Amino acid sequence: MSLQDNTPPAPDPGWEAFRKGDRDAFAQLYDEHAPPLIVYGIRVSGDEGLVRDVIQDLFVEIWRSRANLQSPGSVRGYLLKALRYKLMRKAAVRLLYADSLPEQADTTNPESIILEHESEIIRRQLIRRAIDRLPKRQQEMINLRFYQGLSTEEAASVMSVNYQSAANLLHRAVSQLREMLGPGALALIVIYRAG
Amino acid sequence: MSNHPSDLEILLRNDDFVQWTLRPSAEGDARWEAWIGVDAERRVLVDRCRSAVLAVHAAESDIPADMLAGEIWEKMQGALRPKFRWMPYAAAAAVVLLLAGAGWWWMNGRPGGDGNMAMEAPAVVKGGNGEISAANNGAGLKTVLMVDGSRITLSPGAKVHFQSLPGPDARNVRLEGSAFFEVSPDPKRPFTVFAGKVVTRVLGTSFRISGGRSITVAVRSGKVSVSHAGDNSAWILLPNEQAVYDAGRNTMAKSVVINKTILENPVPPTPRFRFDETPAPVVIDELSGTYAVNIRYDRRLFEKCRITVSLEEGTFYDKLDVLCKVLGATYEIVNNEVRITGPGC
Repeated sequence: MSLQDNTPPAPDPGWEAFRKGDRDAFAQLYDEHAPPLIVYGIRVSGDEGLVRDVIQDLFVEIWRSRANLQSPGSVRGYLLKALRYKLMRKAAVRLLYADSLPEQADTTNPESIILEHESEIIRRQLIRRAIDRLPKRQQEMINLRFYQGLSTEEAASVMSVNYQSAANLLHRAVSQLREMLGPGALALIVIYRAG
Repeated sequence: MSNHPSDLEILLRNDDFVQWTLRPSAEGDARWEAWIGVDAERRVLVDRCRSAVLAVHAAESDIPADMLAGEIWEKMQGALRPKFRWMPYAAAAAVVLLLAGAGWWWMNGRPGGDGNMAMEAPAVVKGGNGEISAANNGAGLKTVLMVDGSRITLSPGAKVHFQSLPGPDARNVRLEGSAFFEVSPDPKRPFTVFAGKVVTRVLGTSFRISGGRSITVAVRSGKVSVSHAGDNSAWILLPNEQAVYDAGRNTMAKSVVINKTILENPVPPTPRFRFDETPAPVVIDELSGTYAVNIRYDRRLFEKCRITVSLEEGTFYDKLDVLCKVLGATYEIVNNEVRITGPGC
């Protein structure tokens, strides 16, 4: 089961227009990327107020320094990385990450969640809570991977780790999430039916 | 191949698989169909993995990111100035941006109009930061027109809140009570109505929201998505469909609109806005007063200008643009108000 990763996308024409000072392109860039960046920021920091400030800083900064910016292979990856860098400069966020070491999930209460009869809303909340219980870096990997749709390589770049570390992190995150949600959670991330 | 948990995990770790699931493409379909081939177990595995990826994606999306993004954008505009200031003759691109830029204006029954004004003026309260509240305290219908050309017809007792000149990324309205919405299409600026716990999002359409203990969203034309607090999944409503939200039970039900009259708007469309040899300050003050937008200008410079112009067409910005061209003036928008400058007459 080995399929090649997609090749990185070609330079984004919207990004080029924005770099030349096109405000419309900047507004589009914002519309396209700000919401997922907010989702990621809240996943990483858990602090909506902080994310508001940092997102604003980030976009004001890239607008002001647009002429000096490079053309990233992936605009989303570039922005995620910049956002992460800003978040990690906040002591409170660093502390969250320090607490999450070593990377073991909190397995003290590995309740098995049977979801077969639950509604979509409850199901979603349960998945969210399961992700919340993962170590911080694994939460981040889940978001980058299954929400932002980044490749393992792009996720590695955002998190400033090498490819192998990112692959290992992803492996652990997927396994632990599957374990936490339990074999009874048929319709869920664990769609595997024993037998 | 047996359907083993490790197969599942391998697939969930596969870059191409996840990206294909999140961003389907014909090439991806072809690749994965080829991989599945005639293997029934692979097909089951792929289906399960796809729903797993989508379930995680949905769980991660459980944040009102679009709304937050809109609010941050608004707040950011101060820091982006003066780069984002708008001058009508500066560049065509700038004009387009602002026209598309979904500010709001509003129009009420203008005394001295030519009798086509069946609608009454709602009570307007201007808050700080350009926020406007418009309430219908009377017995008839009252209509609010927005700068983007959208119309809201308020039922008695209804109230709406919005920015009179908001930024270019979103059109947000808070509604109490019942109202009929006719929304100008603008895919880049979703039009969102917040009514109690119900969030209705549209890209250009007409529909009615009736508030109260239960909230009904009924659609006359176009396509509307409806969601309610605590549930980020959205329902899509098509013409003549409605969603009824029960606040007591926090549930929503979808059905066909039976009472079609709720999808009629009896208020006639556009009021007249014609001027003949009228002093410029009168026209400007009409615009300002009628549309609840502050317009600042040097009255001494413009009081000798006389204008003959028809301002019936287009959005608020179109009208402003025409007016400025006639006056040989320019305008810009600063701190939620319009400033007109020019040599005068």
